[in-house]
Amino acid sequence: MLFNSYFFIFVFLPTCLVALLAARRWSTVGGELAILVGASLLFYGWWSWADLSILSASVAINYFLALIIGRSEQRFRHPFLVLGIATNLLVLGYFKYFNFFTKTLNAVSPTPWSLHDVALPLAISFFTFQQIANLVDVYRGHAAERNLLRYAFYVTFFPHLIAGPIVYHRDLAPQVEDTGRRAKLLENLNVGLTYFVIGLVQKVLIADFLSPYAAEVFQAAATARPLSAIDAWGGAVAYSFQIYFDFSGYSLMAVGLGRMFGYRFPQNFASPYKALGFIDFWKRWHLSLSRFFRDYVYVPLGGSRGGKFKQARNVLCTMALAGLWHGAAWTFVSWGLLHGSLIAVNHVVRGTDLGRRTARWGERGFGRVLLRGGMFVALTLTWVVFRSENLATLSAVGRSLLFLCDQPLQPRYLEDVTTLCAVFLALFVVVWGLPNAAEMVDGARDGDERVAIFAWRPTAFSAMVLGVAFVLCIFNLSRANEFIYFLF
Amino acid sequence: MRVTIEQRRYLLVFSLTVALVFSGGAALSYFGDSFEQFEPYQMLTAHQLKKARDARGIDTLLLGDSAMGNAIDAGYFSELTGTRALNLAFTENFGFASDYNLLKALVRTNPVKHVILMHTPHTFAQRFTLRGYFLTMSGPSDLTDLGGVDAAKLFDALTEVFLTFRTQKVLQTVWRRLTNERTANWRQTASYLATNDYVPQGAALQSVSEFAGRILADKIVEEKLYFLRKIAATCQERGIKPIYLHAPLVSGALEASREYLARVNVEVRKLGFVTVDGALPLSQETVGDEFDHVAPKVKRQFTKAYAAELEPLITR
Repeated sequence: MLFNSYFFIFVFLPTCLVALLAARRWSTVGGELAILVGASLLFYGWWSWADLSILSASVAINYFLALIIGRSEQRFRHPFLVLGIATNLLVLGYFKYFNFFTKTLNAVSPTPWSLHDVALPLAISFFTFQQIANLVDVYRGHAAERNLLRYAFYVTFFPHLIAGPIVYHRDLAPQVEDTGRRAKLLENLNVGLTYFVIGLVQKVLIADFLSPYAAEVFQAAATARPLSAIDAWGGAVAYSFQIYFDFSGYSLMAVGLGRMFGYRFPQNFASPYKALGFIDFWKRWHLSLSRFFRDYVYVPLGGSRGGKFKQARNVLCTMALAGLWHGAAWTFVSWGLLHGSLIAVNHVVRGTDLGRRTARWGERGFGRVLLRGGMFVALTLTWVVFRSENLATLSAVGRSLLFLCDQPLQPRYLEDVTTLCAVFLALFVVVWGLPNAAEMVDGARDGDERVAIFAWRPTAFSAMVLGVAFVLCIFNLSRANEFIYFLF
Repeated sequence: MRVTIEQRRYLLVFSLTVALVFSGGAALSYFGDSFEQFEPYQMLTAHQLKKARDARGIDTLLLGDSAMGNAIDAGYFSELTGTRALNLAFTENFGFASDYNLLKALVRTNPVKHVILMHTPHTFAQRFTLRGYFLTMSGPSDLTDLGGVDAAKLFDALTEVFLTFRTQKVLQTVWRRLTNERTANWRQTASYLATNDYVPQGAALQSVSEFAGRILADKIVEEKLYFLRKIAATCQERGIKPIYLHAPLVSGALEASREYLARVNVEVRKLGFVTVDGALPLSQETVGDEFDHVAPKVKRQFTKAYAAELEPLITR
């Protein structure tokens, strides 16, 4: 069941909230967690009962491994950690990458290897990474969770289970015991509801509106149909906005749901299209994944230690893996390597006079608009690599983007270009000119003066606006697509 | 204390706003049927349901999506094959669900011997939807016929059809009634529907060569066979012969998709249908406004071709 489905919104979520309220009234924290774990397993099993066994086995094995690592002497910890990480990666590798690597091997090998008919278990990338992080944290000295119910809750809690944000044990553990959480029931419910509806608006009213425009253009390219430069740019820009509002919308819904139940998740986005460089972009985009790769791949590889060359190598390795995490295709690896190269270049340039002058110039006024515009164009080009199903599609869209096609400058696949341009313009105002949802809701409540005029407050007016926005989303829910990040 | 009052008021106003707007929507939805419908596909639904209610003596039922609606003229088909055929085509969104409901309704009052189903092939690759089912139900008793459907999907579809979809359509109708231009279009559509038995097409495709090498789909969604299975069972129970054929397709896409079409036929035959291999090709001269729509000017020509193709399978 999707967050943006009638059943989830009108049946599953209210039932869970009522059950939770009852548990808080008549039960202990353990009862509350049992209800949340039960609901989460039901939520996951609804997608696929067969996959539920994989999730359950993964939770049980990692729970025991973490306990063993936590209780072992220092010299035995390392082999158990290696065993744990290897087991997780093998399972992930089999389900997600076996056929990809076999196909790649078959392309160069004279003896063909047979492919396995395996379906990718939903959310496997997310719950695997979350549990690897926990094993490493326990190895580094963080206390292992001894209670299986609590551990299952950290991993399977349904708001973050399917597509993140990737939440660590150390994020959630202190909150379980926090008695203040229980006291702020109504406040948490309202803040969570606000986040959820903003996320729903981003997903249903923006991302799903843009989706057909991007799909039509990339489909045309995939089937070798001629594409004009206007089509290519329209489709590429539509996709840039679509992927942002789709994933940001999902993340806000997840954050909102977590908050409704009294838990704070880390925010996943911090206005990424306001970035003034690729390093800055990755400090704003998919923050929980960036944090994982920084803490558990980049830093252990050596990080920025050992000079610019080693740093560039580490960045490239990390980003290639991040690309592969997104999907088993060479276009994803290319996308990761492309971002890695641009981050490495960014590291080199920012240490030079030119880099420092550009940074100062981009801090305000026209310079900032120009730099953000340039970054948006660069990011759009990298999203084309990400969106293309294969290298032929990438090449077809790329040629049209660079005006290297022999098509007249008129749209063939984009309908109503004027409306689309108006929508783009409005979205530029939103992503460049307005604070993001977290700044408006929590930032304002935390006293951030920069966003004071956009601050969310629990007034009757804002409740009415939110109510109307919610109904608008409900009326448009039937055309909703699955979230892009569900594929990963 | 002040914080709690603010928070309570926030939740209360939000809930009241949502309840108010939804009640309005539900009321519109409830009274919606008393409005004349101006949206072409709403008009088509009403037109086909009325035909189904009034039908008597029908022995050959033509069911399917817009490809069927545009390809076969039931009157001419009856003349050519000596049958009494009725075309009750809906659209792609209705899927096989409406076919099943219409079949159930028709067999109650008609001596149906053949059911001929025609859909565009990629319908097998699309997600399962119940909208067509709910919009063509004879009554609430049809709800009991949905055993085995995922409860969440059932709830989603019910909410979508009876709250949002119908409300949207009623709002569109009201809006269109207020604009003369739309009303003029409505009159044209109504008159076209009465004489041609399907909604008018848009502008013809400019170039069918764009579809060269385009494989329409590559997967068969198991859930999509749900209503086909029910249709096959009803036919078997009533001694009706079910025949399945693919929609006509532009030549380029047809050539590229032949393997997929054959795979679909294997699955459909397993259910008990008689299938027709391949599909009739559409050229630049015969294509309508979609890659699987016959141009209105050659509808009779295609009806003749289908009559010739289907005659050996029809026993009078």
